[in-house]
Amino acid sequence: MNIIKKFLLIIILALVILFLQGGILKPLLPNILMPNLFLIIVIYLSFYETNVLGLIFSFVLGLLYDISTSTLLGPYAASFVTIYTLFAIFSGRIFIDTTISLIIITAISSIICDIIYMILIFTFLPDKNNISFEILLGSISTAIISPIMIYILKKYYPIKNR
Amino acid sequence: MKLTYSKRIQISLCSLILFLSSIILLHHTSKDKTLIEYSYNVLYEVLYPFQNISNNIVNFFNNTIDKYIYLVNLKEENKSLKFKIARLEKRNLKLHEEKYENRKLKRLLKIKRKVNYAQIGAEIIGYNPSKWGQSIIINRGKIDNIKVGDPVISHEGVVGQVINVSPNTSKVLILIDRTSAIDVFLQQSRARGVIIGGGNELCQLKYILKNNDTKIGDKVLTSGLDGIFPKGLLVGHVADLSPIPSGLFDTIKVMPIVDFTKLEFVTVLKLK
Repeated sequence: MNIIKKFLLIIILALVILFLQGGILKPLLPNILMPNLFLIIVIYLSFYETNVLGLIFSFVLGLLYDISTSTLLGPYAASFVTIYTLFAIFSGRIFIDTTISLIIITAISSIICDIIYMILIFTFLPDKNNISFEILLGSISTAIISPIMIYILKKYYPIKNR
Repeated sequence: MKLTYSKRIQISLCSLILFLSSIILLHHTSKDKTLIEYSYNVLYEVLYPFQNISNNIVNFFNNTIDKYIYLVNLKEENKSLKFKIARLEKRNLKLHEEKYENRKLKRLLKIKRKVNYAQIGAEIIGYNPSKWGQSIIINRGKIDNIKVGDPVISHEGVVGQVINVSPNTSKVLILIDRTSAIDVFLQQSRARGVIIGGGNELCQLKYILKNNDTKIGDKVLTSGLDGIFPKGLLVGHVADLSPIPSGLFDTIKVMPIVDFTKLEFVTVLKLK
């Protein structure tokens, strides 16, 4: 698949996810359990598209997520870039080929992503206990969905074996 | 796939550049909203037709389910509603009398009439996909003369304010968002404060001085002093009081009057 095709595929996928998360999942799920499907794509890219292109895709995904969720541009872009780099550098040493390992990796990355986002967005939080609870529950729901998402990505965004 | 040393350096350097770019963007958009406005315009104009279709489908299913489920209790509900109407008619009559009396007294005192607002009805077609942000997308935009900062209400009370506008849609920051703040007062004690979103169903009422005789259930209304919301709109009621021995202010938790999980239609207020 050439770069333009890959880029278009990522953009279409991002729009579908935005529509799915904002139009269907948000009214159905409690806010605290809202998964971050964008993050799963970033994790996939960090393991299967380990080059500058994957990094740029992660940055673009972050920007798209920022536009639709935040009043500022950048917090998710920075979080996704950090997550991508972290996993891309250690991709050779981390095993994600089983469902359990994938769920654990996604949960950890979701927690890291939310912490970076929080650091960048807020300087003072009114209720820190509540926030940590939200981070934890959100990461679990994202992690549970990750095997299905990765399966879909492997099917429609095929990249050479790790 | 194990990365080579040079590839690792390449990714790390690019990552650093992109991370710094994000910080610069963050810094820039915190001061100037033009860039995020423009980006929102492009993104939501692409998503608008799909959101509209999905909204219609979700509404169709919800309405069908509602019709069948609520049909079961219809007789009981009808009886209680008739009783309620009779009670409200009585109250309405009394309020009408008081209204005329109030008008006369105001005329006597020569109090300036309240500023009039035009109302634009809108339907919710999308939500903020993230768990952190609390905003909704409505199907009215620049074409309908909606502008950033316009107040949004429902038949129950305050919903929030417009933060982004595209030609056909607008993003509304709802009052439970952590970045939302509205100037309010307590109806009973008339004490003024600022209501700040808590990220969940409860909001925090700040800067209410201690010893204000605040009680659970007291109504919280907009003060009109923020220059966005007209005075006297119902925001919520006091749900919890946590007295702190030290300090000047009380910590009050407020339950918004609007149930955001069931909200379907809103009204955007425009100064006439």
